[in-house]
Amino acid sequence: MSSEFYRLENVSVKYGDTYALQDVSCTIFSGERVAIVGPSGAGKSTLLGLLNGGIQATEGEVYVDLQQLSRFDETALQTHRSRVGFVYQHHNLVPTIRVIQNVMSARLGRFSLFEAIRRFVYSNAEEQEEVYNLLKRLGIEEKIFHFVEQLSGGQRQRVAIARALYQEPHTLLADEPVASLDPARARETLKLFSTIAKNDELTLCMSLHQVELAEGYIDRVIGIRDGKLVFDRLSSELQASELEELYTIQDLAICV
Amino acid sequence: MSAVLEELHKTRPRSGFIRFSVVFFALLLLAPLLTFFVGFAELAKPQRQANVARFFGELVPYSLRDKPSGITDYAEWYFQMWEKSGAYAMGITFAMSLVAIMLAGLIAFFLSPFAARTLMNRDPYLTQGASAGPWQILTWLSRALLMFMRAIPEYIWAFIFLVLFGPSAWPAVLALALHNAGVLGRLQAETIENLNPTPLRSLRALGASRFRLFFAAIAPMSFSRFLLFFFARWEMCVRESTVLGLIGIVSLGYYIQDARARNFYDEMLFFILLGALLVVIGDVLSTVLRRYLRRD
Amino acid sequence: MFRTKRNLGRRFFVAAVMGLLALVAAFTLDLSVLSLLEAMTANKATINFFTAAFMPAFDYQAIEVPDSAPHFLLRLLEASWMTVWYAAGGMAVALLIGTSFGFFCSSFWWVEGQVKNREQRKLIAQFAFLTYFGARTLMTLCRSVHELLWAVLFLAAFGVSEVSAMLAIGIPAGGMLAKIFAEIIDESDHGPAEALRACGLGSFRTFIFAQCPTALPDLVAYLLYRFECALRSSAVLGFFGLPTIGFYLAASFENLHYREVWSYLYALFFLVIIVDVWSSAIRRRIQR
Repeated sequence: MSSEFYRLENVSVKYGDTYALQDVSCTIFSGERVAIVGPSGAGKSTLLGLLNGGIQATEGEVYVDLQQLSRFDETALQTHRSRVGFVYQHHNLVPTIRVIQNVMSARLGRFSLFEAIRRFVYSNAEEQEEVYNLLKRLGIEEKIFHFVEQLSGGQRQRVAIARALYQEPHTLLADEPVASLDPARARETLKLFSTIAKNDELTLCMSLHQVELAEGYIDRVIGIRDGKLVFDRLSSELQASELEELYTIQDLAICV
Repeated sequence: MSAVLEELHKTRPRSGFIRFSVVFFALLLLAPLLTFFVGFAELAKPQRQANVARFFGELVPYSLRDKPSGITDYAEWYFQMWEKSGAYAMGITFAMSLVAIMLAGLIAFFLSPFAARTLMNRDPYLTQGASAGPWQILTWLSRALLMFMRAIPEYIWAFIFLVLFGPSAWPAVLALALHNAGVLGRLQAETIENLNPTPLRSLRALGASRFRLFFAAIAPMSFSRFLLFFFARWEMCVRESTVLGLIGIVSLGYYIQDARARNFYDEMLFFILLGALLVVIGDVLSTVLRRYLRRD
Repeated sequence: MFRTKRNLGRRFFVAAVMGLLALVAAFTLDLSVLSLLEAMTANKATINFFTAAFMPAFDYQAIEVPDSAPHFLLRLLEASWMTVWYAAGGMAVALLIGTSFGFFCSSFWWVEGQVKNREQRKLIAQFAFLTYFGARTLMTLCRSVHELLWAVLFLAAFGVSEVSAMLAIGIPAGGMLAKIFAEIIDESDHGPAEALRACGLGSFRTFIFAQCPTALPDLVAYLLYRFECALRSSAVLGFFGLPTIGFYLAASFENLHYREVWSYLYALFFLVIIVDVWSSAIRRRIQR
């Protein structure tokens, strides 16, 4: 598609004695929409964490835009992380403050402390307008001044997306965005992510349980299981048998 | 566009009550703080400073003043004090807190079911939202009683009881028991209200009376939480029983008051530190016990 | 099932041991129920005192009242207001201590400090650990000396003054606030803070923009509970000569004006109820 953006070279992540990821190599191109699929505990969240710099590789190397992530100093890492939007499974919003404050807090790292506090308490008109437009794209502009705890689960997810977009990211990561939704809602949500990524030319990475739901909304599928890469295919080339394998062998492993 | 925003901003959900509370408490805290700082500045004046300095000088043990002394001298003096009356006072204080919390626990445990709304209604656990009927009076009475017991500090209860019942350890113990029973009873009533209703409902459907329901199910079900609160309050009890001596019951506070009356500030500091030590011991004991109880 | 049973056994064991210890303690203190009953019935004042509960005074009980004295209800109001005043001052001091040290007592900001340079991180962790430990020790010292003992100390040092009273209430309350604030902050959801950190915000900013607002309802609830305790402490400080409820209560009691005593007790009761109701009303609104 276009240039290489993330590259993982033989990356392993170890927690204590157990491998969360083992010897994973893959490449993600700029502007690509990728689904990471696999059973629970396969290491999907760890992979997302590697991309946003929240988790460091124990072995191997992660390249971001052709630069080694492990060589980044504090500021460079901070800058990198501020350009990666992350939508958490549980949204991770502050429930006691308003939607606009939650969205705006994404940029508070850019100002002096005093200025950040002032903006957190009193947002100015331009910022309000920007957040309003952002929320309008997501269809919840009416809720801009509501408290997060007054919102439904779906609305909260949209606020979380808005916060991620307000970072002006080049990459959007989503951890299990449809884990607790029924199929129709799930498809709608995946469509939303996909359209946003396309319009804003973002690199999109989502971890999913079932790839079938995402059909038509993604370019590539990466399958992992037990911390190991099982397949890495363009979604058009994906074989049904591969998907089956991803889940069935897992079952066998449990039996043995 | 911005008109829409303005409209949304105007109609945003907000609570006048919260705003009022914030402003009210901010003013309530700021006003006395100002006088506090003014008063503090007053203390910085030279002759006041001399007073304060003299006071701190007098905190040094009398026999060790005005001569060079090492840590061992201090240790010796403190050890002598400990042997003379410190150990005895500490033992009394500790014993008082034990009896008091036990009494408080008993009162609270048997008063709390009356304050629980889930139990005190026409048809507990069987009819959803059964009307309280005459039981309501019982709930309100017991709640008001618990609240009143809690609202009056131990020190005031002890002051009153000491005159009414004469000198012994009873006034202090009763005072501690009364106040802590108020606190424990309310917490326990809340625990009962939050118990899982399913097993209680089935028992009730089998025809258990309120009395049997309490002893056979509610009491054992709520016992573990009750013990956690019990030990947390015991900590407070130890803390309070040190000071109740200030009004003349022979606990640590008595020695503090005695030393203060004779202007023996060095001894006063010793007993205050001993009180702090006792509180730390109570704190550690209660934490250890609670951890032991929580462990599966 | 077995496990639950064993655990229940442990609970009854602990309760039984406590009961036994309490009995031993009762014997060493020479507490007998008979002597208590005797003492209760021996003094006629006891009956007078408790019957007075049903008719609190609305005017002075004394026959001769100096002309300069305000109406009793005004005095009651004044005593209540002074109680609130000292309690509020104490809480202000406690808040200053509690919020600043609570920050250091919390493990939030040093455990999760995210400086990447290993040397730098080690240094910061050591420094942070020292301040953390120092702050905890200092706060333990503050709260393990009872407010009345602080009062005794400060009254001896500074004399009967507002500063003494507010420090006496504020220092131990500050120690408690710092401890509980730190606990609340450490125990509430770390998710929002993690999210803001991923947006590139530093530790301190995630602390004030995410962790504190998340913990806010619990913080406010505890703060108001402490205010209630401060009201009680403030009332008791009256026994040391400050013009709060305790001062007038003691005077009335010593003059055997029991109905007046009950008026003061009820006044304190009302103050505590107001704070209690207020607290639950606030919590209802910020924790929908």
